[in-house]
Amino acid sequence: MRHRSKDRALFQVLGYLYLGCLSLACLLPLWLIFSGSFSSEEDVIRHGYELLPRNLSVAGYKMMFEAPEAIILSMTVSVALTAVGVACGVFLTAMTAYVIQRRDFKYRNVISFYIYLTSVFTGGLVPWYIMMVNTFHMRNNFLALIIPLLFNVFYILIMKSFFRSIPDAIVESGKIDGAGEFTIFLKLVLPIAKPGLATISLFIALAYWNDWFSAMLFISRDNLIPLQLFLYNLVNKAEALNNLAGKTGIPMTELPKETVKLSMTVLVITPIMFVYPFVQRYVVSGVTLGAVKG
Amino acid sequence: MKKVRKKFPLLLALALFVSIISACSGGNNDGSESQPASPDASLPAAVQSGESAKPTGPDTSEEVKLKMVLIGDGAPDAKAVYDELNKKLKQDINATVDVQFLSWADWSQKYQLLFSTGDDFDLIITATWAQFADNARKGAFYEITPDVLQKYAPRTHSDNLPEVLEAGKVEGKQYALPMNYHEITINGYVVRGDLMDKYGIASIDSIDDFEKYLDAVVKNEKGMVPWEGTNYDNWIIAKTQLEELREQYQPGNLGLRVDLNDPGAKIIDDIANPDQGAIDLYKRMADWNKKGYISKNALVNKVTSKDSFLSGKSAAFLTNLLEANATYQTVKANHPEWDVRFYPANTTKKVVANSFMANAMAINPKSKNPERALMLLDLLRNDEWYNQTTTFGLKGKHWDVSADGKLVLLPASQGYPPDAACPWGWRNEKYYLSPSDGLSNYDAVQTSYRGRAINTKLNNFAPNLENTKSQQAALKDVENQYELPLRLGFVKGDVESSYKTMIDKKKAAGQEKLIEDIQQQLNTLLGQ
Amino acid sequence: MHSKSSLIREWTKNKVLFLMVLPAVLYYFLFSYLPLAGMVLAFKSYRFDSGIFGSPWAGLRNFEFFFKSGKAWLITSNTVVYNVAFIVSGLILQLLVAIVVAEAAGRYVKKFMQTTLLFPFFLSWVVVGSFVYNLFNYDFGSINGMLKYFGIGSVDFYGNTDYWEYILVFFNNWKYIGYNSLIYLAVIVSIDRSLFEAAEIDGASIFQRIRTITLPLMIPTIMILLLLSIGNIFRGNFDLFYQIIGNNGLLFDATDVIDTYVFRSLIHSQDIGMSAAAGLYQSALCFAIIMLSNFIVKKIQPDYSLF
Repeated sequence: MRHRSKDRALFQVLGYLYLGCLSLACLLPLWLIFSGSFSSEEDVIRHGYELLPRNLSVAGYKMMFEAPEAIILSMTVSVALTAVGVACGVFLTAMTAYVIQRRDFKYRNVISFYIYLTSVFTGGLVPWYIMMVNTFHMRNNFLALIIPLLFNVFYILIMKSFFRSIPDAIVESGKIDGAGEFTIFLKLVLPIAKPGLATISLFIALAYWNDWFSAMLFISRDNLIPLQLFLYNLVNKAEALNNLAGKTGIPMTELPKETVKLSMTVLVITPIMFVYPFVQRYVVSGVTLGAVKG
Repeated sequence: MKKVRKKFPLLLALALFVSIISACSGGNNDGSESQPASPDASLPAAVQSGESAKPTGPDTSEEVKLKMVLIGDGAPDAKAVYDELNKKLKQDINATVDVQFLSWADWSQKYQLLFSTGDDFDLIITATWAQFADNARKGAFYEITPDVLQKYAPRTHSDNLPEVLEAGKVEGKQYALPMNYHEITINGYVVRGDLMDKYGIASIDSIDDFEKYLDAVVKNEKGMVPWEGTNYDNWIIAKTQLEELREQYQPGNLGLRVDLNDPGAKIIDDIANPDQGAIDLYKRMADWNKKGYISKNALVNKVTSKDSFLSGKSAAFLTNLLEANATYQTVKANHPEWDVRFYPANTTKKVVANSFMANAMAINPKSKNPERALMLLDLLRNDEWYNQTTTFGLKGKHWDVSADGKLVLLPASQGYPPDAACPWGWRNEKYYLSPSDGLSNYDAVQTSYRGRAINTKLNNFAPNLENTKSQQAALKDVENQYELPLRLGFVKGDVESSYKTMIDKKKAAGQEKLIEDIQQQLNTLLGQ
Repeated sequence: MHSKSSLIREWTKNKVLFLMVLPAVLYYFLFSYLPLAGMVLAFKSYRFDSGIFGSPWAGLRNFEFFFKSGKAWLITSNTVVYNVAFIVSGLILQLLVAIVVAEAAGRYVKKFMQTTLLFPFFLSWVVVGSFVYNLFNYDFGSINGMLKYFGIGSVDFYGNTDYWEYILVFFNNWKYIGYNSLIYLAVIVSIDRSLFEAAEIDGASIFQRIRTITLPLMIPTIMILLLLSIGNIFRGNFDLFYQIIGNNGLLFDATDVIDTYVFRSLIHSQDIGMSAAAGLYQSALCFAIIMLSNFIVKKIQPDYSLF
């Protein structure tokens, strides 16, 4: 008994030390970014990111909210996109992963290979783009934002390994009770796989939330631009302009700069801080198999 | 119940199919928008025919919607301005134009993609800096034959100088209409007058004077970086010292220089003969770097040297006259005591004006209405109202003209800053107004450069890069890795050996083959 | 003949399973396999007016630029070495996080840690790039500020290749640690609690328990993640390298990977055929290595293989 509590104490000391260092490494930058976003442009350029703003300024935020309707609209697009994307994506991912892990499904490896191969060989951006636009008419519609991220090889294979850890006996018991395959999947398997599902949902949600690329390619209408593209445009146009402006004699207008970049980061992170704890509940607490079996 | 459940996957698969199909049909709707289908098309047509007395006037009875792709982020009032324009356009040529801006952030990627799908727009901006010649050779643009030009863009055909149109040709075929504007890029030093006065520097007429200024700053102004030297400055220092001041020129911007005074335009081969002028410049830069004139961060700085200057962190930067003027105006508002001054780098040598193709407009070969697109371009290029409205905004709201014919900006010009919404492709000398308040030597410098400007055929050089694209790509990488650091004096060991390494790498990357190929093309150009 | 009849037998047996996997099969067919025909661009010189298939053939010319510079070997090996370093260090650090967080006592500690560690994931590489710049630059970088404070002279990080291997590995781990450890954490919390309780009754120490129960149960997931990373070992994380190193030629020999090299070489010409060629080069190498590693894994333990 004594032996056990001693090694637990050792574990805890080492563990917390490790976590402490890590969280410092993660929180400090966050604070610097936060503080920088409230600094004046001049200070950020002259002195870099500092613990406290020398001169308080909200110019970065002001610039971002110059057209508040635009940013609110793009936020709405992002939220809708994430919600729809997660709902469809998780269901389809789980269903696919479930099938290709079933040992009694003969073609599981063929299909796994079929799916995996698409992550090794791609036709390249241009052919894919031509196909999406000319054949499937993915331009300026919501589906053009959903489709590119709907399935992801990585998530399917991870989900497959989560399902693997569920004993075959559960499927068998379902079959004995006379349940159909789809019912077994929906009613017996999915509930047990909750930690895995929660993780994958989170990943898919983040993928949709962070995505600007599909929007950049397929969207030219203002009312379908997600938040990340909106912000991406603000950040990157400064750099692109600087590369070109001088050489072409094209006059530059006043550009968003360092502090805008920081305020935008704060804006992107904030919603996550509020939503994440809710998702997290499933990941942390998990489910014991024993309870389900009994 | 169970049965329904069992069928669920099938339903789902069906649903997926339906959604794909509906996406297709949704797209079709989008496509049909561009087809002419206007109920009141007859009315403007009648107005049109009554208005124009041209006997062979083009047929504009059908109303047309044009789509124009421009680069940049537009302007807040761009929609209002183009709405106003469309009212007039509908009367004049029975068409309206819809402008799509490709954001600076991603234009280079999207620009190429637009051509590969290619059915969605009528007009597009192009330029030497947007790979005009290369794209034209790849079939990206509609060929504007002389007949078509004469019929649909008569004013461009008759009023514009032949050399303007000449610049838009590739292998004798007209693929773009270049801007009608003699543009000269004037590069020089931007410095602070208050510091110059403080340390007794009267004027900056050469790189030696600039050195004195930097030296005074580094010795006396603690905490100040004399010169940030980020990417654009880096390019200008080589451009001014190695090209402009030596009367050399890079045809087609390929990194190969010729002597302007050499009628044969023989490419200067720095593999065979090391360029002593370049070595001397790099030595000077290495010296500056060591003495702290140049920021140690010059190669990596994420903040531009202009922004650094504006924030008061650095004391000088290199740029062109337009940017210098913009800087002057910003500083005048925030820190009038700094007394910003601009000194051109080249005060005595010959000057080559930019190619007219520095900005231009082209037509999509898959456009359904190339004729109407051309008519629109004719108006934008040659009609005072169209030209100035797209350049400066609505007269009386955004801008006005002063008594001496200069541009006066009204408070609302924030909504449509002059020249910001990408009207560059149809800029016209006749209608382009210079700003009414700016650097005191703005006009003098312009006049001086214009007086020294020469004409050269090299300006319209549109090289075919297909056979040397591997060499180009490899050389681009060598330039990045070896030449850029040298230009700002970042050397390990001595300059001469670093220079030699760079030359060796250029040789390995195939510079000789590139020179040979380009020389041949230059000979052909000059032989004509 | 035999396989045909077995397909029919399989279909009648597992009809529902077939239907369940159908959306994925269709999706990948439409959006991945059809555009795959575009790979042919690597051997074409693309013209806008002739389209992908009508463009003239270029033979192997599109691959030339890659080998011309003599850098093909350097950047390929850099790509692999960096990826190996990322994979190994990532695996260890992420596993540690998952195990410690899962064993840690308080619920709030768990929540706090998870949220905190996930933050870096949300910073775009652009912001990470300027953050790194603020740490390491010569004029006002925090690290140099500290060195000066302790009386040690400033270090010119951006002019010296010695440090960047470590800096890059550090920031790559820093960004992904919270995200990737979530997968491991989900595996741990799915483990049947009764196994732990039994071990505890047997008097096993916490370290023994982790070694004998937790780790073995995580191996299938670890293997899958490893194989997935190995399958991408010839692709560099462009944003990481480009935003942190940028256009700093002084560091290229130590930090240039395939993706950054291709980007820099082609940014001017935007040549579609050449970038397709570079992509095909990477795909072919990735294909070879994943087939090999999957084959080996399958030999040892079929359950751990990807396909």
